[in-house]
Amino acid sequence: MTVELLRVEGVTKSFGHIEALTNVSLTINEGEIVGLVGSNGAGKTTLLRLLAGVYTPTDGAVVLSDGSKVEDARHRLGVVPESTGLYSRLTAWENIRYHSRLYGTSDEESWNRTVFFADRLDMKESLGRHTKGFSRGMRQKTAVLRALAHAPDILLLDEPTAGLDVTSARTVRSLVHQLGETGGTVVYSTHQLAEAEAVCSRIIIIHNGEVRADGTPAGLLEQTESRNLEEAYVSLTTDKARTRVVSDKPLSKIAKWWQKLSTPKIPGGDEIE
Amino acid sequence: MRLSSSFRRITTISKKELVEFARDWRTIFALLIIPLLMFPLLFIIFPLLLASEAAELDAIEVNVVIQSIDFSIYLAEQQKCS
Repeated sequence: MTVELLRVEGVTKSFGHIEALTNVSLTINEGEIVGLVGSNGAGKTTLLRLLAGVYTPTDGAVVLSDGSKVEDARHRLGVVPESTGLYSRLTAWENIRYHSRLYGTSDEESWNRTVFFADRLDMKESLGRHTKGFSRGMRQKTAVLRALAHAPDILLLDEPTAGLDVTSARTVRSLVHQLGETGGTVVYSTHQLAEAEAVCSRIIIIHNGEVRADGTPAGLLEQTESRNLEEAYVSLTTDKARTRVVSDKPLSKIAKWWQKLSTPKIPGGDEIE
Repeated sequence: MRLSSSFRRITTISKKELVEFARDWRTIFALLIIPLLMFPLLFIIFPLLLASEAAELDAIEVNVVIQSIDFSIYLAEQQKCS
């Protein structure tokens, strides 16, 4: 029996006149490892931030199983953002404890959970070290420990293996696997299909702010009549991927002059009008 | 309940900020050591330099010559004033 943990109801998110997500509806069930797959700028991070309660939807709602909005129940979510945001002058354990205290978890409980997961991530010896000298992999692992220490219902990972060496990426993936096996719920954003296929029990393909497909890897292959996920992905995203537009508001005269001044001229390149 | 939760958060954040500050030796150095060096410089060495400069100026003798067509008018005015 599937137990629904989180529901996204017709969510649209706009930034000014740019629509980052358009009418997205989905549910996250207990024990699922859901992979959000899409190209850069597809809307994965926006969706994750909406799930985490960092963004408020322009239209629609993100609600938890008890009907509460995610903005009011952030303690039920563990988030690992793309940028880890660790305090460099604090040790790994102090960073983890700080966040757990903010969520109202006792030091003893968060310590026990941290040691349990640190053992699996090979981080136990580094808990007392300042994060300033940490490698990218160690910072990412610390962020994962921090997200798990207050016993969240759902773990949201935004490209957790980006920039990690092979061993560290493998360790993170293995932990996600273990979490899934023990009934944990994980939403895993990535732009690597092979990784999503290896880790996730369900894959959601996002393209240009829309959900193009949602199902198990086998289900997606069946739906698209493809031999592998890469083919399936290509067939679902035939239209050109949009690029990140910072702003297309008309520039003021001063802004135009400054842009012209600070942009090196390329022979044969287009001049700024 | 809500008030105690807010107070707990404020305490947690304050403690973290204090620990971070205590470990930031560069800022502590800039805040404490630099004024300790600057104050003696401003209040002891500068006045001493100014005093020696003033003493040097006092030691200089200046001879003043006043030229006038009718010097008696000037002297008469000086006498009236005194």
